[in-house]
Amino acid sequence: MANLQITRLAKFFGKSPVLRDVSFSVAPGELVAILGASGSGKTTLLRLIAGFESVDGGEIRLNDEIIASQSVFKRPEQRGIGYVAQEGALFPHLSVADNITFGLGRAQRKARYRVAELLALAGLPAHYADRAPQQLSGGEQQRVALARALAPDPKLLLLDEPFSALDAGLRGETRAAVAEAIRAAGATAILVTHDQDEALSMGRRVGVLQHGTLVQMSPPEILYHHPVSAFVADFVGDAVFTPGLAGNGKVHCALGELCLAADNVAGPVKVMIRPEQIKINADSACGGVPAVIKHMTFYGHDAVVTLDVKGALQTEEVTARVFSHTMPRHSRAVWLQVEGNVVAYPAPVTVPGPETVSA
Amino acid sequence: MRTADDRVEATPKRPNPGLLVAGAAVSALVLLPIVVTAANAEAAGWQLAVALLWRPLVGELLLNTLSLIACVTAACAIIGTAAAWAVERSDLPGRRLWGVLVVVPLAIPAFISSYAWLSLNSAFATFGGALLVVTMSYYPLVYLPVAAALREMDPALEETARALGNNTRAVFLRVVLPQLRPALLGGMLLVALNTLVEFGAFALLRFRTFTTAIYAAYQAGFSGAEPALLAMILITLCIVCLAAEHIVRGKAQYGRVARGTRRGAVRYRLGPWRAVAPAAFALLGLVSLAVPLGMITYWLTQPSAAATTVAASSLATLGQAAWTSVRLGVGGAALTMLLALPLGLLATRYNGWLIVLLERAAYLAQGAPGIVVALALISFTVHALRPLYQSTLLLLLAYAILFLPLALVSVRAALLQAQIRLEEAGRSLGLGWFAVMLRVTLPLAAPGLGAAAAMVFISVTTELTATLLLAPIGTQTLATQIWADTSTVAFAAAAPFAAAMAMMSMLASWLLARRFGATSVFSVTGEGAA
Repeated sequence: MANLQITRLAKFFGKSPVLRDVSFSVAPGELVAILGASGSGKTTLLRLIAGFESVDGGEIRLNDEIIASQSVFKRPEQRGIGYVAQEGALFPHLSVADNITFGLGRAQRKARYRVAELLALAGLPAHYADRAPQQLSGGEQQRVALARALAPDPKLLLLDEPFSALDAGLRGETRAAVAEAIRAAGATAILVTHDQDEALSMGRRVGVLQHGTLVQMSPPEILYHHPVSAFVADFVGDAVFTPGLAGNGKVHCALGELCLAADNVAGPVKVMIRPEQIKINADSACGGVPAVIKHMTFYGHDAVVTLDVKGALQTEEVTARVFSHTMPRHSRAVWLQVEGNVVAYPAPVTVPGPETVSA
Repeated sequence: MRTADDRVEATPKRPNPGLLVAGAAVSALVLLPIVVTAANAEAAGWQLAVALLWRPLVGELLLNTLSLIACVTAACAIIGTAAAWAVERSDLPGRRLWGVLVVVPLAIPAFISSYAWLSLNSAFATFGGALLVVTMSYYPLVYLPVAAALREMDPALEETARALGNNTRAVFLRVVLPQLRPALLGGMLLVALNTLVEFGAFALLRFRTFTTAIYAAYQAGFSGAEPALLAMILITLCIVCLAAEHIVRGKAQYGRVARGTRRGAVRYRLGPWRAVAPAAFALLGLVSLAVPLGMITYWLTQPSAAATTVAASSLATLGQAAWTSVRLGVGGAALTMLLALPLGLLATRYNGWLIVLLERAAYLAQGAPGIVVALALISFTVHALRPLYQSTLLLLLAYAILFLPLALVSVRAALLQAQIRLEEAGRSLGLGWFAVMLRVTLPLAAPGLGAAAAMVFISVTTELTATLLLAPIGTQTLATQIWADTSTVAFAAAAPFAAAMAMMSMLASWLLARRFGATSVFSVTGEGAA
């Protein structure tokens, strides 16, 4: 278990910056998820920590020892940092057991040190030890890769989009198994991903990388409900944006007068509402602003309803996410209420227009 | 290279009987030399066979051949792997240039380089000389597959191994090398096979191996028994190599465990070696290219009278020999393709044990080196088909037998390009079998077939052994001219012919590589030259 401290980290590929001024720290035993679109620099960040690339500015400290800076470069094999690559990267010429013990000394390799224990930790049956990697499914390969990375007892574990190559069903299952194994091992870990669900569900804290800059790092619920910018709001989940006028902790918009989560803006704003905050009432008795259903998309457990709401200047389109059994069925005329607080971002004064984005 | 599922999975139809007969005839033809040789050997009877084989000579030949093969294969493995690693995985300055230069020796026949070295100093007519010449000719056979394997390897494997505490050297030994094993072993076996069947280089360097001993026994005019018995040993050795290669190739495809996008290969810093490495490549280029080409150029500038001349070289004889080589090359390529097509069609369009058997038989023919094929054809025609003896057709048939396996690999790949569902679409539009062949299959396969024909052309023009033995009296090719002049130490007289052949071979290989990629040239010499 170890703590990691990253300070003002910078990396350039040629002249173009890939990472700029990235600072954060990871506490012992913590799992931090880094969320970013492709090209945001998230994989580069991981490779810098692992030592596969050299840094161009700032420093990385592991247990208060500088392992990478412009003047220091500790070789990857000396860092004691485990790495799980995108597709597991199991050695095709070695059995599962030999893969798992690869990072151990000769004597421990011969003795198959901890193979059974690690297989169990990764949720795999013990008789998998003698299989060839080719005989495993993608999810099983990932679990072996995790067991292999954990075997030498690394100070820190890096996971580079470990589930992206798996299909949806397998992904959830593998994710849960890996999260459990990491927890059981008490490992400090950084997970890099472009999948919001994965980041939010696995990370004790989640950082968002945008064009090489770490724009927010918070616990998942803060990140989701109080994103620092419209970009983050949109990136971590579906969001409805609508123009409004803020003041005194309240905001006026097409959906009525709503409470702000923080009283830090005034004047013209962009209001961010999560689609699941919008409640649809079938009759006016329950209150709310009138709206007209345009269309509905059924997803099984829930449904997304697209509605037209009359705003101050023009009709605005908003989307609401409801449990599918509460989907309105009888009338196209409904009334909308917003539950909970909303977030607003200062907006340049332009002609307000309808803006609905779903990520 | 050949897997079960590149065979058509659709309902196996009955092959056209004409096609089947043609295929069977071709397979029988390519196996003919082995059968004839075996019959000649058998005719000797047990007692004579034991007496002929249980001699110090045979022991010496075995020792010579096997020790040379061991050394050549090891040297090629080291040079080929080191060069491939440096070009593909290090920050070697000028690696693209070196990457091209290390492959060029494939286009220079080994008997031309042996001529060059011998003309530099007759001291090269030793084991060491043979080792040098053959290694420099064949190390690209290791380089090419190993470089390809290094290119294809998933960099995440090496990175993961680093993260697990291994330094660069340990990563190479524990991760890279094991994955190179199939490519490396396959390449080494090709080197061994080529060394086994090499004749010209060893004959010039006075190094006694099975090929030269068979030739000597034939020249000495013994009964067919002695050359045939020696040939049987040689065939056995070749087939052992072929079988081993088949096993390595079939077993070893680890493939990547996972698929998907990945980064380019990991490149390592050479550090202090960065200054030394280009010098090593320069030395390799000097020994493998500069000396052979330089010596030819040197002798070109010497008056041919400087050496005793048998076949006085003049522009007229040079032009005539070159023209004969080209004509035989075109004829040989045409006949080979004509024979390879029915087998290729059968192998790619139909299933069944008979077809597998026919195809395997054709590949097995690689076990018969040029000298064996030539002697078998002579013996067969003298006894059974007198009119064919000393005819150009017989020479072309020998080429077809020698290079059919090589052509078949490419023909097969080309015919797989023309997918069977496109043919079915043609049939559903009302075209007959033959019309579909002409209007769908052949046009789609044309580029690949062209490459195959070009490869056979190069192989034929640089072929020495069969040409030497089977060319009708009065037919002189570049190869036979070089042979005639060099075996009488008329180095200057041989130079124009050697220059013409090296130019022709390198030009054709270059065109082929530009059009179809470096690996296409690889297969030329990979299976052909003898």
